[in-house]
Amino acid sequence: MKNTRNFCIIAHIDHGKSTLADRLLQLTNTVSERDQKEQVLDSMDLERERGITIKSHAIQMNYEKGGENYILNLIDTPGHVDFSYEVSRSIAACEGALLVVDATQGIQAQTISNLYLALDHDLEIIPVLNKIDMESAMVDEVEDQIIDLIGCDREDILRASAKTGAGVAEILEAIVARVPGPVGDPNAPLQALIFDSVFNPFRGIIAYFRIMNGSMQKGDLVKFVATGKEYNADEIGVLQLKQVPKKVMSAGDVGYIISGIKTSREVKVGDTITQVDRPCDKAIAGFENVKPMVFAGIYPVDADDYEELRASIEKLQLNDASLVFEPESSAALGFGFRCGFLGLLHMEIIQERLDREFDMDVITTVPNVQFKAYTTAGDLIEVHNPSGLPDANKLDYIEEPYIIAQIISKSEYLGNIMTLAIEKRGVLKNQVYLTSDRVELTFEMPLSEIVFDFYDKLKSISRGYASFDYHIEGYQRATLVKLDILLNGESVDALSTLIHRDHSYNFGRKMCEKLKELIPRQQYDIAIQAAIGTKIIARETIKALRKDVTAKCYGGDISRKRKLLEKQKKGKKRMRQVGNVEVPQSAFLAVLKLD
Amino acid sequence: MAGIYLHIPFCKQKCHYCNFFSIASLKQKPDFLNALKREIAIQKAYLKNEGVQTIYFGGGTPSMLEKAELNSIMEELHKHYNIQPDVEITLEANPDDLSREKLKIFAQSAINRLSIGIQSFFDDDLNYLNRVHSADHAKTVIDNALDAGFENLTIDLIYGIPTLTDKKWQQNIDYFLASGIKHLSAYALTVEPRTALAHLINKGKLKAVDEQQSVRHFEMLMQSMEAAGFVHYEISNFAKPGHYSKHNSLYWIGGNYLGLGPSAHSYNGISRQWNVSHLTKYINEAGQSESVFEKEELTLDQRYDEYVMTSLRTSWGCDLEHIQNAFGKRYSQYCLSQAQAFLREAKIEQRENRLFLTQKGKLFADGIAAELFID
Repeated sequence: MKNTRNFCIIAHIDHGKSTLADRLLQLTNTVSERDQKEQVLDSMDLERERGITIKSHAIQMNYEKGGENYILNLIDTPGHVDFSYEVSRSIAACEGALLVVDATQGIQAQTISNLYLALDHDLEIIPVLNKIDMESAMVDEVEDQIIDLIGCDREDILRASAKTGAGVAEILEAIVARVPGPVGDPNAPLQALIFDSVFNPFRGIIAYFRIMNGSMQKGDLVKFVATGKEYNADEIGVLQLKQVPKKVMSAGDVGYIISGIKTSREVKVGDTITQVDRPCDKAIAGFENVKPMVFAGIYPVDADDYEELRASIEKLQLNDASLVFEPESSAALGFGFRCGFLGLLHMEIIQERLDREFDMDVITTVPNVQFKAYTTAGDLIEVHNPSGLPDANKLDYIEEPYIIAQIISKSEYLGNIMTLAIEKRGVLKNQVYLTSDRVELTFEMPLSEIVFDFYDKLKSISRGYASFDYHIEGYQRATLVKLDILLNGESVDALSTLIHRDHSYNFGRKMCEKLKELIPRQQYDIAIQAAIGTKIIARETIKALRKDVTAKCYGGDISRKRKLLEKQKKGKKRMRQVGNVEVPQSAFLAVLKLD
Repeated sequence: MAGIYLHIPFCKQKCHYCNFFSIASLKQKPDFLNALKREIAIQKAYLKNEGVQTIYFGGGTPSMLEKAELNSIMEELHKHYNIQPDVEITLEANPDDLSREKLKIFAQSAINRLSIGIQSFFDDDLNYLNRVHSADHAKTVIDNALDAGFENLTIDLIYGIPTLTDKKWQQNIDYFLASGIKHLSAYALTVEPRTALAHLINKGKLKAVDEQQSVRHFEMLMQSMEAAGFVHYEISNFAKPGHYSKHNSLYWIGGNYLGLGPSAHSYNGISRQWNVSHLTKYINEAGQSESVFEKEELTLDQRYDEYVMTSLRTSWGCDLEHIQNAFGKRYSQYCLSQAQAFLREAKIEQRENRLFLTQKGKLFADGIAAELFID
């Protein structure tokens, strides 16, 4: 145990976490040159393309220093706000963290929030200044930022370039020298923290754990405390590039357990594994049942694909327990599913995986957050869909989720960011200058306000400089109204939104304008209306198409026109019929594209 | 029946609405003519010695060719193709090129049909379109062409021009009818992307085209032409019986044609190919390299789609029996079942085994054709 080091890497997207991880694996001969695909840890194609880690992983390295053999367990953490709970569990499994900061960019919001998580868990922080080989590296300035942030000495900061390999050997030495070995009692009752799980089509769900106390043997009858379920430890082992089975593992070890689990919901990140015969007194602190915060409808483009879509989502859920779904039907879109996501990126990832891995053509509706509706009878209803809101006469009040948002930016964009955040109902809670020209702002704001286009806008008003992180803070009472969109008098359920009363008029008007752009002209005039209850608050008209005929149809015109009409026809087939109006798929996401 | 199209890519100036390939400089004309002759020779097998019944000089502005140039092209064509004695040879011409002398020269040449780009008999419309000629000159040219002995004459008119009021449009139609010419091509002004017109409208420098006005003009046109005894034999073409353009008809009945010159298209019943829309490339590659054209094989579905799209536009209609013979019963049944909705809406009518667009249907020819396309 004294020669084991469990650590993670905290870094902002693109600050070089994955590249550094690859270097560590190379230097410890964990991967041979031949196996070296770039960024070994990011195993999903999607992760490699986006350069971000969606699911966390773990890997064990062997390292020799001063005649001693060490086992280094690198526990990788996902790098996006949607997954901050998972990050906190990975951190809880470690004693140390490499804080990797890009010397050309400085500290970003997400780095800070993850750093605070690590400090909360008393992790030893090893600051690493990465990309020092770049011409635009601001070594002294960014070192100042790091010193300000964690109060270390300048000498404590390691300078490295994961790309060239410079300084990486020193990082390995520092891990051994500075990160404490795990403490824990190998003879106490078993307490193992689950920090991740993966699905294997042959072996079921494989859980990754860190043993805090006690030990586990192959064949043990174990219990997952939060779910209360019991399993046989069919196989346990450590995570090298491949899984290596072991007979016994004990306090401080990081590994996997295979126990014939079929559904991902039985393996909850943060849960504690103990022995049935000799259970621990209490579970490891910090477990939470992760609840999805953002909901959207997912519908097959072709109604015949409904069952196939269900099968695809079920398969995705196998290695993504945070994805929830239930059947839903919409007058406009037919049968589909209401899916719950941790956040917007999570939603995007699911959409993309449906497309790539299952070749599913889907329409995704406008996302909304989870509201709490209180009825006059005093009942609480969780609302995942605007159409699920109780009737106005039975509704007492609504609560919506609030977040604490942290934004770090160059101070010259401070004004723009303030304006944007206040427009989005944000309240400034704190303002700290990290350096003379970098400021950290903390806002309290409704989650629903960032669901649409907040992040894109923030990036554009700060020329890409601002970084953003958030966590859910709880629910607050809100003045929300249900805004309906009507096409030729018929309400389109898939376009309804819950929105703050003060924003509703402006929003309704913009929706109508956008839909006028997106819905092609048809045989009849189309009235687009925005309504709150029975009150119409905005209207646009799409004039009927009076004429649809090519003037010239000679030699080359013929094939040109045929191709054009064939394309048009394909597009039309994908449209949805609402009353007598044909609506293209893009219209269902109109709300996301409002200016 | 087969035809040959020759694209002469030179213009004095570009008309605002035009998206055909042309160049406003004559510098490369000699090189172009050499390349064209090379292409004429090398493509001689394309029509498989089928009798050529129509030759069409289009452009650009073919009336910018000199007599000797025209003759040498004709000579080359006769050398390599099976030109029929009753061949129709059309030359597109702009009024500004047609002096009395030039008309006389053309009348004595092999050219036996003249297509004059009049567009309007009003100067403000011509101005909007950026045409070179004046309204007065357009009128004179028509008289002179008839005087020179051009029996077989057609003119182009454009409607839906924002400056063209309903009254003026009726006057244009009436002027045409009074001239005694037996063929008219009338086109709705179309704002094609990447044209000067599109740009100027976008910038607010020219008035945008009004769809309602275009619809009214089309209806006025159909009414007047029918009353005067013209057959509306294609969406944009009207003729007295027996005066249809052989060349235009060829495109719509699915005949074979060979296109020569930059951007020209050829079709042999199975595949279509088109030359580069670039004069220097054409000059360098024509007759030397296959890279001068691109080619696509048409699938059975695509050929059916094209047949439906073009035949519906004509007075011969879409022949279900032909579809059954050429494509199979599945296609003819599909076509008829897709047409049901339009039959109910009186946009299509069926006479014997043929489908025709009604006057109402003609306004929606594209959308209707698309519905009849194979999925």
